[in-house]
Amino acid sequence: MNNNNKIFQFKLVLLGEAAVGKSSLVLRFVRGHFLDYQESTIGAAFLAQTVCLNDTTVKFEIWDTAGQERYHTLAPMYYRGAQAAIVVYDIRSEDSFERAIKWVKELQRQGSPNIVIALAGNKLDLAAKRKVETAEAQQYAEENGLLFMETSAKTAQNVNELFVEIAKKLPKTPTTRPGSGRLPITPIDNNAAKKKTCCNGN
Amino acid sequence: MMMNEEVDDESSRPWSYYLDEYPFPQKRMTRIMSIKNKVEYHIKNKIKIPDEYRSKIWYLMEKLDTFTDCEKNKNVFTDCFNTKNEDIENDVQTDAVRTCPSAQYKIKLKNKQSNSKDSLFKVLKAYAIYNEEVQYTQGMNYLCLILLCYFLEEESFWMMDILIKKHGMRHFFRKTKTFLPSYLTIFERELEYQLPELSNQFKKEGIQVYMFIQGWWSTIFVYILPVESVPVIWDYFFWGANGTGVEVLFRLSIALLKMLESTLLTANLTEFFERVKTASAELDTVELIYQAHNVELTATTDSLLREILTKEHQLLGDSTTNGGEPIDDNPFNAFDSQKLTSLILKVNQQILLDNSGDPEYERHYSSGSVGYTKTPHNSGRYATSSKTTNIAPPPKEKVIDYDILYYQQLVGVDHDDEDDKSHQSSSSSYLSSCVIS
Repeated sequence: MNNNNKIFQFKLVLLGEAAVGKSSLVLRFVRGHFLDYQESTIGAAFLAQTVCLNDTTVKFEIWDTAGQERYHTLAPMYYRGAQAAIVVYDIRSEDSFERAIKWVKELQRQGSPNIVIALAGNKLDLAAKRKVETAEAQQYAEENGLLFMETSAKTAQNVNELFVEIAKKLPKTPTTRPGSGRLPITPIDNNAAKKKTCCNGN
Repeated sequence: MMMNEEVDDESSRPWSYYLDEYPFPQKRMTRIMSIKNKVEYHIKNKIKIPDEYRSKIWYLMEKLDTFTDCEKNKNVFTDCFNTKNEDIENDVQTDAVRTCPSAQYKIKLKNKQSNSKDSLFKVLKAYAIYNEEVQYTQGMNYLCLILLCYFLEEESFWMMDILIKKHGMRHFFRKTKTFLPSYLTIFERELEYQLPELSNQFKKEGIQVYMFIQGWWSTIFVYILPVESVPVIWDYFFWGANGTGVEVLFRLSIALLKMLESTLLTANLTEFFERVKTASAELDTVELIYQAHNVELTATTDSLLREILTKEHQLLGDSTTNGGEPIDDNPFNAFDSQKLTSLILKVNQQILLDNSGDPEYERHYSSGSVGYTKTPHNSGRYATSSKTTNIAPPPKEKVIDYDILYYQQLVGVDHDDEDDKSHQSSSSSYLSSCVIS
């Protein structure tokens, strides 16, 4: 890795209805694997992963939250201070798309200003059972200034691409630092960085 | 080994004496007390209870037969299961199919259930219909998984009810308002006192209790500990909870963090989660519950936990508040969901009334007090006080809204954040909406 690389660290949160594939997306991105039956997340899970762009390295600190509506009251703890969010829905479920829209609105209202929001229509491998049309979601995303991709955690389609797009869109200003402001920006451990996602970024 | 050097007569008899061959059918309470004493002996002497006895030990300690044999409860499980509710069914089904027991769980489950996913669905669905207050909340699936390792479906259903109502797991699961934020605040303070060095490390690295502990508590550690450890933890939980399950969870959490302290003292946020996972996989669980048993919670925490319980009981019109016994006498009406809803409203109103302009409240718990250990006055108070005498309990007859405090700590005090102002304004509107909802 180029030692002259600038390293930026961002807090990213995943939101969306239960069982749309939030944890699966993260695990595909971070660990490169997929489980047919991913256990439900209680509270939230934390994982970190890096993305290399041309001359910069972006380290994501990822908060993968519980999706059940019941846990909604705890969500602000996780999206607070996040510079990026992925709002996930299941392309087979209109309800989950409506829920995603609610999350987007909440983030726009209460999230960090300038938060980069990506809308992800997951389970693209099951497109035969699609209920949410690509065009509709695309249009919604454009109207609201969101990144948009349809993804499949199972086949890995568009998963790394989604994180790379977010990394590109995040402002790389000298003041960029993690949400808590507490973590020093440190060199990334090369062993921890996965080949697939690293330096794949343009 | 168990037979030899034990002083206590009760502990010296084999499990089978109490579980299978107990000669005094009339002496029901004596039998249960003897079993509890024996469990206590095992905890104190770091002896593992053999797994084959667990079903019966838990069954008897919880007096499960009073639920399953009660005429009133006869068809409850089946009726609830047969009640149609598509939303609940979808929710439960989603999780039932993905609560994937590891291979070891599968071995355990096989003894009792032919198809664990079906059983999970049945019990959770029936329970969601039965208990309108909590319905189905994620976390219950993990509890149910353990129960199904030791009980039949209908028994698991009633054990679920015992965990949720009698032992207070409802505080994490209920629909309208969980006590989770309150407990988080109280626990953070307890952690500062019990493990100050680790607590400081957490602050330095931006690790906050809410980030990891919900999974520990709402699943009674199923979420974090390996298969073989969980039943040992549950031995201690059933033995110690008696209406105050949250206190047991506090003890276990403190003990766990204490045992992991050396590895966590050098961990940053990213390393923290990995290390907790790795280290707790190799943990000596018998040691853990021994440590938990020996944790002395501060008087403040103790009284706050009791305050929450007392308030609930009082407002439910239940004058007796000592542990689980009154609930045992009347297990079926004690936590009527309508009463509970009105209770929650009352508690919240009381909080607002109690705390408006209360100087005591302001002094101890104003929003700035998140860093209370930094002020010489407070740090002295906490550092030198003995565990039972010197810590001033909160004013009597008052309920402090730790939910508010918690959100203040989390949302309002991060001064080095550039976006502070906008956060605070959004957080205050959020606060008002979460107090009474």
